[in-house]
Parts: sequence; structure tokens; C-alpha cells
Amino acid sequence: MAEAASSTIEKNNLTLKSSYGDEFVLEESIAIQSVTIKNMVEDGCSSSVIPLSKVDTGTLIKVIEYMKMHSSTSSNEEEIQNFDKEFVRISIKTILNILEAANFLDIRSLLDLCAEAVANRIKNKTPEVVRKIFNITSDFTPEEEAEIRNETPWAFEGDLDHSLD
Amino acid sequence: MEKSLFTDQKIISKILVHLSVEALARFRSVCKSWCSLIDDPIFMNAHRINMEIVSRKLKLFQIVYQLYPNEGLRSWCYAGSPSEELIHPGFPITNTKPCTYVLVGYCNGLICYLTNFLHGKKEINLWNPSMRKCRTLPDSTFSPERQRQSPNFGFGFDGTTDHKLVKITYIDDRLKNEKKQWSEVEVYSLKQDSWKKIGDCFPSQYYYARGDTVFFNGCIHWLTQREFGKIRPRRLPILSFNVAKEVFQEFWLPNPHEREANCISPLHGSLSVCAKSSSSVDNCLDIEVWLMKEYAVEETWTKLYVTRLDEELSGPIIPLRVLEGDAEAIVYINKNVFLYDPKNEEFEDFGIWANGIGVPYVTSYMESLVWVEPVVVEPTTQAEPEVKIANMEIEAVGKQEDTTSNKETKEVGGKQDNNCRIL
Repeated sequence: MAEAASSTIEKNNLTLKSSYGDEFVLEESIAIQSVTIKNMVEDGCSSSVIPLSKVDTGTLIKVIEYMKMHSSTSSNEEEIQNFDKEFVRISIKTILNILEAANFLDIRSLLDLCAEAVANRIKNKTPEVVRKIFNITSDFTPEEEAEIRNETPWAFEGDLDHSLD
Repeated sequence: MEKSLFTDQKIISKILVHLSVEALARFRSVCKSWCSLIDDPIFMNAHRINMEIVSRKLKLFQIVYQLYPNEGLRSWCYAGSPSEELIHPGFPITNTKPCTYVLVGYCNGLICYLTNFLHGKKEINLWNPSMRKCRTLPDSTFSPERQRQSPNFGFGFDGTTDHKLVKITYIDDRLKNEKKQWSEVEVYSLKQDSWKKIGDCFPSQYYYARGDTVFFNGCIHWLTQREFGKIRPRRLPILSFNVAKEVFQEFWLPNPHEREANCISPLHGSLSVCAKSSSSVDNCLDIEVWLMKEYAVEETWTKLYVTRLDEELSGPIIPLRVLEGDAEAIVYINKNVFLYDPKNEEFEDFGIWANGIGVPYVTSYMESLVWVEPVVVEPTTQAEPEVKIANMEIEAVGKQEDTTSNKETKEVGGKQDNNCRIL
């Protein structure tokens, strides 16, 4: 994909600006993995800086790292798989931030990678811990919650994970 | 971040779709919106598709059988080989009256079976082992005056949201001067919780459907048998019922005079049969595996492999299932279950002495979120700890490893390339 783009167009660069105001210059062929950016480029917004008001600097750095690796023509499938595996070895809060950015930027493969990584991290956790991770306040009455637990009591037994990360 | 993350249900759905049924059952208590998401038919369908991918990649299959009368059904789950035993959920039945169980079919993680009480009453039940729920379905109201033989059932999925049970009743009306022999076909919809008649659409009056069924490609499949004591018809087809369209179709087996088909299995997106045929050279038995390369095209039957066994030496032999991938055959030999690996021409013992009633039933295995409610049967307490551990193993398998890997993840860490995602 990167090759096709660079052969037809001279290497166009785009500037992405995080919510903190930090700017990052990136090849257009790499940046258009984000459907949101691609649409902006096609609409002719690419000449100026693209403000990403919902993405903080740390998250944007990770997103750019991901896009660079995934547009690289020199890396094979195994290298990309290993990269992906390492990429999500970070705190669950950070993955959630990247997940939110991937959703906003519309990068399908990154969204899927993060969603699966989050699932993998919360699978053995208690509902209480999950609420904390997602900043959710339960809207069940104690009676309602007890009723739901009673429908599948076996799902609450055994060694559950109480850690926040 | 202080705000509640992801008010967008789509993102939550993308995360939760990767979780096991056990985790999802637990997370229904997180908040109302998570609960209604997990119970939503659209989410359930996305989860089903994901579980299918996991099941296919890990080659999950299960062996179900009844060990002794009244012991209920046992289900062993394996990943690819006898040494990869994962879970054995079982005992969904809390009957105290003497009865036997007959498996009807398996579809999307649900097992449909008949309970035959010794005093004559029959019940049709639907069991979801991963949700540990079991329910007795209402029987159809149709009762013919004369039946040629007891009705046959089949269980399948319409490809979108509904599971259906089909019942074929064979009728002999020769005493009245009407149409002599015919079949009444009725369909039960799980979604609507009701039966309807679809009439006399069974393709033949010369054969019956046989025992248990196999569901795949949107169709329920049966082997067929001729009437007891009759020679005709000489040829017997495989029968299929398209669950969405509610129509039957016949597939004729290759060279039918020489062999008896024993099991149907989905293989490479099409249909395979495992058949026994006696060799004329010696007294041995050939177990042949055939594949209909293109589904529903009879000209494409191809013999995959043959293995020769001596039934006099080994005892009764019944092929049970051909597995996806390398087409290993699961064979029931003298009450023991073996996996035959055609590549190395080796038999591996499952270590199951299946000395129960009837023949074990082998299916693929996947977890299912489908609530077979409203009737809840709580599992007996003894079986629970085993299931607990095993469920977590299943869950860990196929997910990528992470830094907080628990014990279970490490145990199956070698399988981390089995990542799966909805594409």
C-alpha cells in the first residue's frame, strides 16, 4: 500500500497535532491507515496541520509507532505478530486510551488488537474491578445485582483476579 | 481519566465479544448497559461467530455419552487430540425416575437430546453445557393414530437468530383408504417457543432417518435406514434438511452396494462420510473416509483414505466422526474410543471406557451464550470444580499471552499463535 501511494504521489507528509499541542510529521501513505485522516486528506484538509483533539501525546506516539510498523514493507507477518504482542504489553489504562484513539481515528486493525488485549486482561477479573477500570458506577440495586448473580452463580466462583491492571 | 470510558456500546461490544461465556456471565452484573448488551441477540450472534473461529482453530471437539442409567450425560472436550482434554461438563439431569437418554443433535454449543422414561413418557431437552442450563421443550400436539416407527428429530440453526427442532413422524394410514404411507413434518422454533406443521415433505416412504444428526452448512443431516426386515430400497441416501428454507434434500453415497455409512462429519466446508466395508480378500474390515468435495454435488465424492481392521480380533467397530483439518477419524472399538491419525496410520486411545448405553456422540465444541431458559436446572455440586478450572483453560487458549498471565495461560502458552479476531 505504501509503495503504491509513494510511486504515484511524491512523498507527501502530514502533520498530526495531539491534544497537548505536540506536532508529529508523518508520511501520508502511513497516516491514511486511519480512515478518519484518509477522509480528511480526500476532502483537501491535508495542507494544514491535522488537530487530533481527542488524542493525547503519549497515545499518539503509540498510534504512530503502530501505523509505521504496519505500513512497513520490509517486515514479514511473523515480525508484525511479534510486534503486536509486545505492543499491548502495557498498562490496561494505556491500552484503553489507544483503543479510544483507534476508534476515533478509525484504524480497524488497531482497534481489534486493543479490544482483544483488553478482553484478555479482564477475563478473570471481578465485576467490581472491571467497574473501576472502566469508571463505571453500577446502576443496579443490591437486589437486582444479587438476582443477576444468582442466575449464573458458577461464574463468580474460583480464583478471581482482584488487581486493577 | 475521570469520565466513564466508552459510552459507545460498539467498543464495549468489540471487547466483550472475545470473552468466554463464564466471564460474560460474570460481567452481566457490571451495570445495566453491559447486561443488556450481553443479552442482546446481535451481540450473541457476533460472539457465536467468534466462538466458531476459536473452535475451528483449536480443533475443539467433544464426546458425549451416558455412562449408566440415570447418571445423566457426560461431555468430554478435547483440543485436537486425546491428550488435550479440556473440560468435562456433565450431569445436567436431575431426574430420579429411571430413564435413558438419546442424543438428537448438536448445534452452536447446544445439545438436544431425548429422555425416555421407562414408564413410556418421552421428553425433548435442550442443554447448554457452557451456560449450565437445561430445558425441557414442549412436545408437538400432533399424535397420529398409526405410526410406522417412532419419530425422528433433528436440531439446527437458521443462520440468523433462531434454533429449530424438526420432528418427522412416519404414518401408516393403510387402514383408511387414503394415501397409504406418509410422514408428517413439524418444526419447533426456539425463538417463538412454538410448533408448526409443514406437512408431508419427507422425500421417501421407503426409508427412515437414522438416529442422531449432524448440523452444518445450514442443514441438519441424517443417515437413513430401510424398514426392518426389508431389502428394498437397495440404495440409501444421506438426508439433509435446510433449517432456514425448511426443505429436504437427498445425497446419494458413492458405490452403495458395498458399504455401510456410519457417520457424517463436516470437513473442508463440505460433507464427509466414514463407512465400513468388508474386504473380500481377507476377513478384515475397511474403514473408508469419503469426502463430497463440493457440497451437494454427488459427482465430487472422493475417497480420502482407508484403514483396515480385524473386527474378529478387536471387537465391534463403529466410526464416530471425522475431524476437521487432517481428517483424523474417531472410532469406537469394543467400547473404547480411539483417534485414528491417517498420516502416521496410528490409533491413539482416549482412555474412555465408554461402557454405557448406546454409542458415544462426537461433535465439534464451542461455547454458547444462548439462554435455553425459562426452566433452570442448577448443576449438581460435584461436577463444578472441574468445570471451573477447565473453562478458564479454554478461555486462555487462543488468546495472546500478556504480562499478567495466570497459571492457566502459561499452561497453554504454546498455543498463543491461535489468535483470533472477527474479521
